[in-house]
Formats: sequence, structure tokens, C-alpha cells
Amino acid sequence: MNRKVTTDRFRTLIVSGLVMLCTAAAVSAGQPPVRFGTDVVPILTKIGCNSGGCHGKATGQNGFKLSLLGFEPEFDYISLVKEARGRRVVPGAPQRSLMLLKPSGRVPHGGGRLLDAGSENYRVLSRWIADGAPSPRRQDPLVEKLTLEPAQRVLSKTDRQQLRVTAYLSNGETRDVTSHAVYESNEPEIAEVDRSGLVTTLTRGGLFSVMVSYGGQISAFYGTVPFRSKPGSFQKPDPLKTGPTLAELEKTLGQSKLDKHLLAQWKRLGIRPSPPAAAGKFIRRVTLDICGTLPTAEEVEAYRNDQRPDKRIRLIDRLLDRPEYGPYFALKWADILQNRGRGYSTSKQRAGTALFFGWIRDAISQNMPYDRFASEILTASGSQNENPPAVWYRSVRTTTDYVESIAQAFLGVRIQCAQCHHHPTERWSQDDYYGLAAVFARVGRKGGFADAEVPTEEIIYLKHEGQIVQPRSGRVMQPRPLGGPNFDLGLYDDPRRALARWMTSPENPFFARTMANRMWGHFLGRGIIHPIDDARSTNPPSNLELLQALTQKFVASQYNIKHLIRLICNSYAYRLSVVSNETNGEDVQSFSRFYLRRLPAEVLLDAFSQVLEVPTSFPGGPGVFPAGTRAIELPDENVPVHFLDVFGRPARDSACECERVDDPALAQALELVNSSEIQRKLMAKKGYIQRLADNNKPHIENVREIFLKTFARLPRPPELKTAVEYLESEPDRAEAYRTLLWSLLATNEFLFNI
Amino acid sequence: MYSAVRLGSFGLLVVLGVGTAARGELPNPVLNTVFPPGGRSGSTFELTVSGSALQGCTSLWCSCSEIRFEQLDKDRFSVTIPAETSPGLYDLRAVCAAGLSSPRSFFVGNRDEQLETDENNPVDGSQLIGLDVSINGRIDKKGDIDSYRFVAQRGQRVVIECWAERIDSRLRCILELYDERGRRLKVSRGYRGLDPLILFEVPADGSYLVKLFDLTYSGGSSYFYRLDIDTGPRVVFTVPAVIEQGQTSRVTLYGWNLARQDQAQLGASAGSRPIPSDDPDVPVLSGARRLLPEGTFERIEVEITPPAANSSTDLPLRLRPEQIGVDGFAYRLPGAHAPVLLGLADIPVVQDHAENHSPASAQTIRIPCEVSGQLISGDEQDWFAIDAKRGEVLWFQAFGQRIGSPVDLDVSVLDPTGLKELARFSDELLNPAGTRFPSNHLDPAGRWVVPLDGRYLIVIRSLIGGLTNDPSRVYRLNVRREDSDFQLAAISPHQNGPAGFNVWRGGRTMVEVFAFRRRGQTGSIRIAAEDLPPGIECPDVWIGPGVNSTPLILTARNNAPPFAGSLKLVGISANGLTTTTRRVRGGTDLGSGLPNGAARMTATVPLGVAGEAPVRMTATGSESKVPQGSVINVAVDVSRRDLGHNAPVNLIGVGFPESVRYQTTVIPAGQNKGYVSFALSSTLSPGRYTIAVRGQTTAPFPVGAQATTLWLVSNPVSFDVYPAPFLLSVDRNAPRKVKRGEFIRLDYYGKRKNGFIGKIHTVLGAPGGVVGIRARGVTFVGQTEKGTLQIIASDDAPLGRLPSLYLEAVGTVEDESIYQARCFVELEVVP
Repeated sequence: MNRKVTTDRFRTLIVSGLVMLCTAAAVSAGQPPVRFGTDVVPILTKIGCNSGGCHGKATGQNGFKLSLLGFEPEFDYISLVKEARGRRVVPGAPQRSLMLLKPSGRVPHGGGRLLDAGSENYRVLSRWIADGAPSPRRQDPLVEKLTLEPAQRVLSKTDRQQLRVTAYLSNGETRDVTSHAVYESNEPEIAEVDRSGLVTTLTRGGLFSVMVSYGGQISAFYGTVPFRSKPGSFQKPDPLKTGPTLAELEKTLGQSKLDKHLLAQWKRLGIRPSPPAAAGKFIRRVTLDICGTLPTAEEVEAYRNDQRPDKRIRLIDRLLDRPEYGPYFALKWADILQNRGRGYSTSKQRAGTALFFGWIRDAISQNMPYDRFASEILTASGSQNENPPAVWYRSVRTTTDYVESIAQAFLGVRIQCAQCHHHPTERWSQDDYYGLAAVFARVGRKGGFADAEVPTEEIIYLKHEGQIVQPRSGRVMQPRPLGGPNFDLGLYDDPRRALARWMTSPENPFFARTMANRMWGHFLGRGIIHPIDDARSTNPPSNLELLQALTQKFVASQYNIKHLIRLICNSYAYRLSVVSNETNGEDVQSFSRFYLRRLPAEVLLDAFSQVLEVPTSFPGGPGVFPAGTRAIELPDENVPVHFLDVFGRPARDSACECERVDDPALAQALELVNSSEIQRKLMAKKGYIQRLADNNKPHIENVREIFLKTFARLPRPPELKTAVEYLESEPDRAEAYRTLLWSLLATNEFLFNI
Repeated sequence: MYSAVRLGSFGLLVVLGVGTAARGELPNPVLNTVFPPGGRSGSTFELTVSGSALQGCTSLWCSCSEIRFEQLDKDRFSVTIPAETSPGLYDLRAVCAAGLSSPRSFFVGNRDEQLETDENNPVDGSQLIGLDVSINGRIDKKGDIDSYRFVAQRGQRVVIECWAERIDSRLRCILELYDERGRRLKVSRGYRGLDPLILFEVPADGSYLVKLFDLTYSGGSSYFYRLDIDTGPRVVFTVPAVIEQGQTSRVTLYGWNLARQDQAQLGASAGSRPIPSDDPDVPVLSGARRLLPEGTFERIEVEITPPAANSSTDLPLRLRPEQIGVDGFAYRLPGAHAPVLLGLADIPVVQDHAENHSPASAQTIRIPCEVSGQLISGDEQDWFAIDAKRGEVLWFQAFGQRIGSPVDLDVSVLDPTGLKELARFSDELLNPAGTRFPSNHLDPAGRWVVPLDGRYLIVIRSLIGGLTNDPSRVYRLNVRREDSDFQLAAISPHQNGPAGFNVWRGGRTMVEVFAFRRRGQTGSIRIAAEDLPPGIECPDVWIGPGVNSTPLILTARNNAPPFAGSLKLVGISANGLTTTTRRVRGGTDLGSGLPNGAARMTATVPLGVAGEAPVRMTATGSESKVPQGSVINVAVDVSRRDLGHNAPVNLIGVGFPESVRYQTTVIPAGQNKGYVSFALSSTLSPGRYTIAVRGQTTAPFPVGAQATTLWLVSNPVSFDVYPAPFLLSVDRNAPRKVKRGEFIRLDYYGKRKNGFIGKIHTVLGAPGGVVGIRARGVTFVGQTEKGTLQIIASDDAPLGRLPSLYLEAVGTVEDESIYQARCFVELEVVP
């Protein structure tokens, strides 16, 4: 045993001696010095020392904490060199440094063996230690950008592509950092990437990206894997079922830029879009999407029989002028803007939520330009009792609320990570986070009355003083936009106005794009960037050109929201059938078919009311909602309706639309069966069912009307036959129609927008 | 120290006692609704009232004395408004058996009036009405929506305005306007306040629908409203917002449909508007000058000659408590629907220049002056420059919220570079009456001492500027040297809602008068009543130095005739050779169910004389001059109309500064005399003060009926506080108990002040005499400040705490007793 120890020590000494000799030789040979920021930290990132699962997590690991992914080299340097009584770095004997002993597995390491003693990375670390572990200096070069070779490519299935990464340093130096960079695929089911940057596609088609990070900079490789290996090689057996060929589409789609970008994408992916949906499907779809309302049987019939070539355009225009358009999109924005009714008591909160909801509804109905809409909210001041946008500041009232709500709602950025550390997959630092927070540091509140949870009827104003301190650096932050320099502000200027100007500038890369993407996601069921409020270079748009074109048109229209909706609803993608063909069944990114989705809770409840012609009675407080009030018109979430909660009404706790869930749940099925509200509507004395029971019309006529009313189509012959036979078999006419309608209203065709 | 610490708990008892006051009052008539809440001048119509304790209501009283009422039924009246009555808001009260009720607003208009019908809802059909009408309606039930249809022609400019909050209604009104196709054209949820207004430029001939409902779909009898659908002249605000007293001034009126001679030209920019040329409500103004429109407002310039002095009382306008400091008068454009408040200044008025938006372009003003300006863009800053001398004391007072402007003003004083802020003034939090009459507001006010001779910059801006240009963001900025001023308001002492001011024959009632001191005013203010009705006494009372309120006591003799009217009160303050006199204005709580602090000013301070008081209480102070830190004893006599019912009377004091402590006492059953002793703080400012005693007892009411709990109030007791020559205090370690037949030694101090070196002779005393104990007096001579009193309890001394026991000291000058001082002694006799 003693001999072995002695031998090991001897070997260690020899190794260290060799290392020192090599180091000395290297230095003497004029090798460039090893810099902490650009040489050491990337190795720690590459081998995973500072990952979120190891020493990079908030609490560190076993007493050793590094900044997440090495975004804070100064902090990391102190951890490595100054802490742990200097055991982590021993310049006199680099090989005795825990920094080398642990990852190389020569002493027990919970993270396992990450570094070979003879590897290049080991030698670089060792040389840095031997040089005296120099600290990062202000004049050290920084990595300014990364380039990838190739940056994007169309790959076939089970194909391979080696990425080459070049780092550009601030001193003009360029480096091949392929072996030092970190890689991550955003769609591992489509393509994988290994530690060396080798991308391997699998057996699924689609779009993917590979995030590449090095030295605090991030870049991404964008890959396309066509669904068929030879685009356009298939033949169409039945154009009615499979849709026109791409070549046919190219001739017929006209000059729409949006359609051209869609078509180009489909070409790249080698898929053929589904055929356009039937007229009945389209009017149901677009009426639900614009007005949150079912079309009436008469509207469906009129549209089906309309032979004018521009009937779709006319329909969209008509719907945008309907009174339901305002409240339906106000519901969406009330979610995003967290118009919450919970708190002291409904009677105290309701006035504020009703005012704010009303203001949003008016803004949308009157087509207030989106830049104005956002600016009014951001800069809102005065009494919440008199200036409704100021009610936004009731739910949004802390530093984190301000930053995260603004970033997510209007800039499409999830910046939460940067509250505690540099964003791991984006460029956002804590300075960005707290610089944006400083914009709101002088938001003052006075007056109003409060309980423990939510004060209300406050006056929002610009305080004389107020500051935000960046917690890591201890610096007082000046107001600044995301990624930008500080605002140039006078003594009495409101930083929020500067933020609003920056945000709504046509050059702003986030603002218009986020709205364009949000609305595309509303109508197409998925954003071009998905999720819609998580824009990152590592989460690229599925069709960059399409999003850019949509954004440019939105900006050119001076942020005209109705214009944006017209663009989207008139796009070829929006009119497609949900039925897939042999080429696009797996497509979930490129809008080659309509992605079906369940109706939102409020729309669904209203649809029940509309079909059965029995409005819902909503509990009020302090007053009573008038008869005929619709669920999409409710000002806040604090109206106790079990149906709405079961079907995913959000609690409005954040600006994320993801709070509204449309996932299926057992409770929903039970609600459809057991809901007292649905029962009440089915049993009502004055509803549609009673009208059917009393109208003495032949069943066949009634069944046709019922199908138009519920599904916006006529019944298929077998459906008609079954329905009529059933109705004739049931002696109680009202009960018969009750049963028929109940069964139809529980179908997916009714519950979903297809 | 001794007194303050040990008697602190008694102060708490007082708070609890007053908090229950409303339960024990004599009937308090409260007028909840008046319907219709207004009428047209030159008309006669029926009106219904409702409320609580309105029994015996025989008439109505209005602050506009020209309006006449005739009772038709128990709660129905015929109202006649003479044609010459000026439009505006007045107070209406019910005259009942229990006196004058709390007020409700009553609007006198000059348009046709209509009542809502039962079918005016979207389900049953809307009510068809003409243009230029005021509709009186009510949201009767929760969830109700009232709807009205009118026909208008293309180019007409129709103003649709609801009056609800401004006429004491609980309705938070929402207005919506629809066209014939059911398309919602406009909505308003509030305009320059909570009440909504829609300006409607009629796009096409046709009929239009107005819907009206509560924001939270509430409803009930107190959700009444007046809805104007009008094409006549309406003034919204003026520029300048203030003019100098007695000086004829050119004023720009902002509003709509302002003057007939301008119609064609104004129409060119606002669409063609076929206004009938013979419309009597559209004035033809001589000397008026048409100006170009600004925003959605039309403008005309008129010449106005204001009153020579402040006439801010009795205005036919809605005024909130915080507006008590606003001097102004009611101006009404001929033909306009209502008057507007135009400020009145006693110093020169200047208007802001259009280009004074930076330090470099600051507008020079001379002190004193009042600036009238506009902050048209949301982030506009108006800069002014002044020259001032070192040591000058300047007061800045801005008016924004208080003149109905949508601003939250902030005023700063900076050095000549405009970079260094020397002083900053924000919201004025002066609120002596609390939620009963909340006078705090967003307008800044403050004092600044000029540090050096030189030039200084002043900037005024709004902290809540919006993104749109709005010419109605007007302000007044008053800059003047320190010259003290004050305003006064009389409000009911009721804690729990509205009340009238009534005094019963043979009894007394209390009105609390609050002082709103400004520009360094700290001295005593004397409150005096003028032109009292027969049989009513109202002795002068004083709001002491540094004190913000005083009880004003009205006493009705047994033979006082019935009366329903108003009380004329003035406040007088002397500061050196200058005497300032201010009228006392009225204030009222607006009732339960409204947010805390729902109150407004009233046109007058009301007074009703009715009924017969079952009990009367009279207080007599022990002396008229008291040194700081001493004790004043107040003897109380109770006389009852029903001598067979002699219930105990619990006594508390009212009207003293917070630093004054006292013991609550009880006049036992069967007795009618008692005492309350007040310990004054040693730091109480010298000056004249007024206190009173309140009592709680039971008495048959009315006479012969079952006994009920009553609150009484005594006559006021006024006294002068003078600087103390010495301060008495008991050693904090002195014994607090003495056994019968034994003695204790009580160490005490007589700390000399203000150079007093005379003898101080101390004895033990109590109101009504000391019983069961005795002490030999001690005399301090020379510089002695500490002594010991030997207190002996007799064998038959009454057991228990000795109420209001005190040390009493007499200071002599040349062997003549000149000064007197007291301090409480806490002592209990035990077996």
C-alpha cells in the first residue's frame, strides 16, 4: 500500500513536472496566454461544470458554485481562485488543483470523469493555472459573435452534417471553436447533435434548429428535413382529398407574399397542403375565430349559396365589423393583461375590472392601432377609477411583474431566467432584466383602499425617486430597453414613455413581430414562433420569411390589427382542411393543414347557449349581469362558473397565453354529461328544443337546421337517416330533440374548431 | 408626565363612546332620494321624497329660496321653479317633525324635462324622446338597462351627458350610443370625473339609441340620474381658469354649441350643422369673439366682470370637500345648461406663454401672482422665473384636481440652471376632518425660504400626463409671500352617515367647525354666528392655536319658534394689525353604501328648530384663564323635562387638542351635578380655546314615552391658556393607595418656568371638594421645586379611587395670588 502511494505521488510529481516544463516551454515558445473568459470558461461550459444540473445551479453543488453556463466570468474566477482556501487552483503545482483533479477523476467527483488528463482541454486549464491563474481583465478580448458553416441546410432523413463554428473575438482574432462549443437540438425527434457538432437527422421530416453556444455568444443552425426524400415525386390520386399539387398551387395562388412563403416552405419540406375546407367549415371556423361565436344556420346557408368569388373576403370584413369581435378579442387581451378579479371582494374589484375590460373592448372594436394600445397601457397614469388602462397596474405591481409581463406580452420574450442569472439560451443578461425593471422604478401608487392581496382604485403616477439595484453587481440600474443603451432622460421625464417609444418604433425587432405571431397563432392554432411568447435565436420561426412578411405588412399598415387579421384569414393556410393527406400527416410546423383545436371555454359555453337558445345566467356582484350576457363578455375570471374552469379558463396570473389550457381532461367529459347548466339549457321551457318540439315541421327539415346550426353543414345521408328514425321512434317530441341535440353537442365536431 | 401616562386610557374610552353616538341620537331625518332630482326653471311639477326619520314632513327647503313647494301627499310635493331661477345645483332638504333633513342635490335646468317610462329598456322598447331634453330616471333594479331613442340630423352636434355621482346618486353610469342598425357608435364610462358624456357628431339623419346602466350592473332607488340630450350651448372649462377680483377680463370658453353667430364658421371645421336660427337657447353674444376649435372643443372669447370679492359660498355648483380652498364664482354663459366654476384671485393673474416649456424659455413672473396655464401635451412642463430676496418666505399653491382638471400637479423650485432642484411640492394632505369630510387632494402646496438673493426657476407639470393632447389640462399656480389664511367648514358630528343640523327647543346641538389653515396660519380663530333666528343662542367659540376644530353649540330657548333655514357663521382671525374674516361653509356626508369619504360641500350651513329636548346640560368652567400644564374643572348641571326619570349621565369632553387628557365621569342616578376635569399639556400653545361636555343618558322621548338613550351636549366653555410660571407634577414613584386611618407621603414637583421665583403654595383639591382625606398645604419659597405632601385618610374615608383629585398650587407675586396650576393625583382609598 505504502509503496503504491509512493509510486502514485512519484508519478504525480513527474506529471506535474512535465506539465510545468511543457507550460514553461509553451510560454517560452511565445504561445498566446490562456485567458480566463475566452479560454477557460468555455471549457468549463463544454464539459458541463457550470450546467444547471451541476455547479451552475442557483445553490451550486457541494459548496462550489459557478455562474450558469459561464455568463459571469468574474464571479466564476472568484469561486475558482479565491474560495475553498485556494485548493481549487494551485499555481505552483497545477496538477494538484482540484479544478483538474476532480473532473479528471483522480479524486472522487460526483459528476464523474469529464476531462482526460492528456486532452487539449486539460492542457489549456493546466497552462492557465501554471501561468498563475490570471484573472479576467478589462482589456481581454471578448467573443463578439459566432458563425456556423453551414448556417442552414436541407437534409434528407438519416443524413449527417458536421457543423464548423468560428468565434470572432473583439481583438480581431478568429478561432475555430467547433470542438469547444456546446450544441443542443430543439427537435431531438427530428435531428440529434453530438458534442463535436455532428448533426444526424432521424426518420421524421420537419424543421429543427441546433443551438450553438460559446464564450457567452449563441448562434443556431437551421435544418430542414423534407417529409419525402424527393419533393414532388408523388402523384395525386384524388385532388378533392389530397388537394392541388404544388405546381398547380404556384399557378393559382396569385401574388400574395404570405402564400408564396408558405408555398416555398411546403416545397422545401416536400409536402402538399391539404385541400381547402368546405364553405360551411370555413364560415364556422372564421366566425368562431373572429367573433367567438357560431354562425347561424341562415348565415351558413347564405355563405354556402354565395357564388361571388370574393365571398370569403367579404365574410371576413363583415365579421370584423360585428359587435362580437370586440369582446372576443378583449377576452384574449384581458387574459394577457391579467385583468384579475380576485382579491378583497368581487364587489370591490369588479368596477376596476369592468372598466379595464370595457376599455380593451372599445380599443379593439374601434381598431385602435396596436402601438397606441400598448403605449396607453404602458404609460397609464391617474386614477384607476377614471383611467381604465391604469387598472393594468393593479395586478402587475412588482418588479418581476413589470419586466416579465411587458417582455412576454409585447415583446414575445421570456426573460424570467435573467432575473437570477444570464439567460442560458439567449443574450439576455441580468443587466437587461434590471435595466428594464428600472423603467418602472418610479411608478408610484397612492390612494385607493387595500386588503392583504390587491389594493384597488389607486392613483398611478410618476414618483420623483425610485431605483433598481442589480442584485449581483450591486449597481443602480438606469432605465434601458432590452439589449439597448440607457434611455436619455431628463429630470422629469417618465421612463415609461421612452420605453413605449422604443417599443413601438417600426425598427423594433420584437414588438410588431410578436403581435403578428400572436395573431397567426390565434387563427392557425400555432405560432410561426412557437410558443408564441418565447422568441429566441434558438427557437426560430418555422417560416422566417412568412413571419417577416407578415410583420412588415403589419408595420406598414401602421399597426392596424384588423388589417393583420385580414391578412391572416385570407391566407391560403387558413382556408385549408384539417384532413391530412399522405404527405402532411406528420406536419405540425408548416401549416400545410389546419390544426384543429378545442373551442375556448367561454366560446364553448356561449356556443351551447346559442344553439339551445338559452343564455347563461352569470352570478354577478355587486350587481347582476343582464340577461343575455355572454361568457366572452365577462370582465374578469372571478365569475364563478364551473363549466368555464373545467374547460380551461385561465386564472390570469401571468401574461402567458399558455395559462389557457385546451388539453382534454376527464372532468370535461363529466361536465358534458353532468353539467347542471347544460341540463338547464336542455330543459328550458323557452329554448330551441321547445321550439323544435312545437313547430310541427317534418323532422327532416329540423334535422337539417340542427346540423347547420351546430356543425355548419348539412347532415350526411346516414346521419340524416339515423336522426330521423330516432326522432320518429320517440313519442315525446321534445325529449327526442333533447336527446339528439345533447348527443350532437358532445361530439368533437361541435367541441372543436376544425 | 404623570397625568399624561396614567390618564391615557381615559382618552380611549372617549373614542369608543363617540363611536356609538349615532345609536343614541334623537331622530335624525335623512333624505335618501328626491325624484325627479331636478326640474326646469319656469315649471311646476310633482316630486317625491324618501328617506328615514322623515315623519311629519310638511315641506321642503331649498338653498335656492325662490323655489316653492306645496305638499300634495305624505311624500309628494308640487314644486314651482320661477323662470328667473338660474340653472345649477342646489340643496334640497325635508322639513320634518324632527327638523331639517340631510340634503340631496336638486338640479335646476333650462331644457325640457322628461321622466323615464317603465318601458325604457332594450327588451320592452326604448323611450322615444326629443332633442334638448333632460330626462330624470332611475336604475331601479340590479341588471337594469335604460334606453332612450332620439332623432337627429346629419351635422348636428349632440351632447349626451349623465348626471349621477354629481347629484348624490350611487349610480356609476355607463352611456352607450347605437345607430339604427344596432351598431355601437360611442361609449363613455366617465368624462372629467365619474359621470359619462358623449359628444356625438351626427353622421346621418336617423334615430339613435342611448343605453344607460351601472358599471357593475347594480341598481335600486338611490341609483337615480339626469340624462341630458342636448344641442344647446355647454361650457366645459375656461382659459384662464382664474381671473382677478373686480377686474373685467377676456376669458376663452371651451365647450360645444357655444354661440349662434359662430355656427357657420365653426361648422366648416366640424361638419355642417343646421342649427335653427331662432333657437332661444343658443345665445347671440355681443362682444364675443370666435376662436378656432381646439381638439374637439369649440372656443369663444367673452368678457367677464367678476365679483369684487370672493363669493365662493352659496354657489349653485357641485363642490367636493377638497375644493374648500378654491376661491371662485359661478359663471354661466347665457343659454348654457349649467354654470362653471371660474377662479377668483386677490392678486394679479397672468397667463402662461405658449413657449415656456424649458428652463431656457422660462416665463418671468412677479411675486405675488397667480398663473393660469395649460399642460396640453401629457409630458408638458411649464417653466417660470422669479426674482427673490434672501430670507423671503414664499408659498406655492397649485390648483388642478380641485378645479376639475385631469392632472396631478407637481411643482419644483430650481436654481437658475434648471438642473438643481431646491424644493419640491406635491400632494397637500391637509385633512383635519378625516373621512367625514376628506379634504386631502393631489394639488401641491408648500413653503419655501429663499436661500440667497437671485433668480429662481419654477416648473409645473402633471404626474399623470396621457399620450394625447388635451387643452382641458388647465391649472392655477399661486405664488405669494407668507400671509396667513384659512377656510372653515361646519359638519355634523355624526359618525355614521348624513345628518341635518337641528336643535330642539330647550336643548342644545353641536356642529363641528373645522379650520383648514393655510400659509402659516396657526393662531386662534373665533367663530361667530350672525343673524341668528329668534330664540337661538350661539356663543362665540374659538379654534385654538394649532387646533383644527371646535364644537359650535346652538341652544334653543324653550319658546324658540320653529325654523328651517341656514346659519350664518364667520371665522375671524387677528394677526397683528391684520384681521381675516372667512365665511364658514357647510359639508355633508353622502350616505352609506358609498365609498369611505363620500362627502361634499353644501350650499349653506343648515339649521332646523323643532321638537322639545327632553334633557339639557349646562357646563361652567372653573376659570377663564389657565396656565399651560394645568387642570381646568368644568361643572356640569343637567336639567330634565321629566323630573321623574333621573338616569345616570356619562360625561366626556369634546373639542380639545389631542394632547389634553381628562377622566370620564358619571353623574349618578338621582343627581344632576357633576364635573369633568381636563389636564392641559405643558406644551399647549397659549391662546384661546373652546371645549364642551357631551353626556350620555336615558330619558323618555317624547315626554311620557319609554326611555331611550340620548346624547347631550353642553354649552361651550372657552378659556385662555397662558404660559405657565411653574409646572406641577407628582413623583412617578409616589404611592397610589392609602389605607383608612393612615397616611402617605406624596412627593411632588413645582418646576419653575419663565423666570418665576415667587412662593408656590400647594394644597389638595377636587371638583366639589375633597372628601375623606386631608393634607396640609406646603409652600415653596426661593428656588425650591420639590416638596412632600402628607395625606391622611380618615377612618371613614369612602373606599375606592378618588375621582379628579388634584394638586392645586397658587403662585404669588408680592404676596398676592396671581398664578394657579393643577395636576391630577391618582389615589385610591383601601380598607
